[in-house]
Amino acid sequence: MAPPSIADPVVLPTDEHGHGHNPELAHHFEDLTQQRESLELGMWLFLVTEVMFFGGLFLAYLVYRHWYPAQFAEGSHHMDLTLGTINTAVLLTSSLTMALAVHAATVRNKKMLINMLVATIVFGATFLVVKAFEYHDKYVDNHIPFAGLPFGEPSAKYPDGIPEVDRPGAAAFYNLYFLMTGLHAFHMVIGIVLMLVLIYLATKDRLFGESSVIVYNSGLYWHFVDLVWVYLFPFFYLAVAHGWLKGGGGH
Amino acid sequence: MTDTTTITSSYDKSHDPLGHDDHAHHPTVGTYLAVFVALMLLLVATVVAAEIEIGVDKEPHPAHAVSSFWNLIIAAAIASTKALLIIMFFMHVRYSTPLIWLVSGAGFLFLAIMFAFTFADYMTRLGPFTGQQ
Repeated sequence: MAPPSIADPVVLPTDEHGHGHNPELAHHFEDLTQQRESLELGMWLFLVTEVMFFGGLFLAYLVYRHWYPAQFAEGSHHMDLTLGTINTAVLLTSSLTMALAVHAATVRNKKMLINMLVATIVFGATFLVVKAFEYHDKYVDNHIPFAGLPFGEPSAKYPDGIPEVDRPGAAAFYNLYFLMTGLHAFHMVIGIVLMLVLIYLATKDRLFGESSVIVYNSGLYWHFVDLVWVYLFPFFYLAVAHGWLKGGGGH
Repeated sequence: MTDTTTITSSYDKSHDPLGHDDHAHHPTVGTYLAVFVALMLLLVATVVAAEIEIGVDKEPHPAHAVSSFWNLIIAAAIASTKALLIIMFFMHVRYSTPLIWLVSGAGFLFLAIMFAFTFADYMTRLGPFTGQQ
């Protein structure tokens, strides 16, 4: 930038603090702090609507579990606890790498930012692949209560199937399982697309300074998706003891 | 392009690695790692806690093991502890303005109201399904 000169007659508009026009400050904001806080507030308002959205489903889960405790325990017993636990660890790790990506954007470390975003995508994709295998297991076990599939009929792993009297409760459990984990997985797919856009912007050096709020808000979104899983995991996988402390598979 | 010293100083402020004055107290990498370790330990805790059957009621469906009310409460409490760690540190609420505290808190407050009033109804009226209804 050119040094100030008394030969220069133009005076740019300044606010009461004596700030001139900053190219990173949008015209409808008083200053950078207000701009930043407005962008964070907007993201939080969106996340509150997400809290209410998923909250309604968690409420439905608890009401049906209150009504069908035995069928929910049975359904939970048929979840793959090992895969569920691994996936929870994978997702928590992706939240750590996302937090580190936000940190990297704040301290203007481009290499770390890109590495951490790539790591977040890798962990997120790993989660989705494991989830796909779990869904496939449910298909093989005849535990999918929609799409005209033979729900509750005998399968190789469960030769007795689900007794007729238990099927309404079991269907409630598996419907909620697919609806809630499916919506969660859909949110993760959106998150991964978001990360890909961030990597592109990072390579163009467009995520530093005031623009780091883009990484920050994406981080809020990713952590929120992690938060939903933090409740989904115990509700669906841990509704009943799986018996591994006693060294047996139970069923 | 014209320029003044005030423009230069204002522009430099935005390049402050710590961001704005109000955001000067960002969590460090060490904080993130400590929170991550705590989350992993809580994950182990919740899996182990689910294996310890607390007051399991074999009724009304003796053919199945029924998860107990207290196991659910413990699982929800551990999940909420994990959630609080994520919200406070990973989501920076601990370091945010009172407005963010208010907005984020309001979401969970209204969720709590919805749960409390719904269960005040269901838990006092509707018993578990037994297959005999």
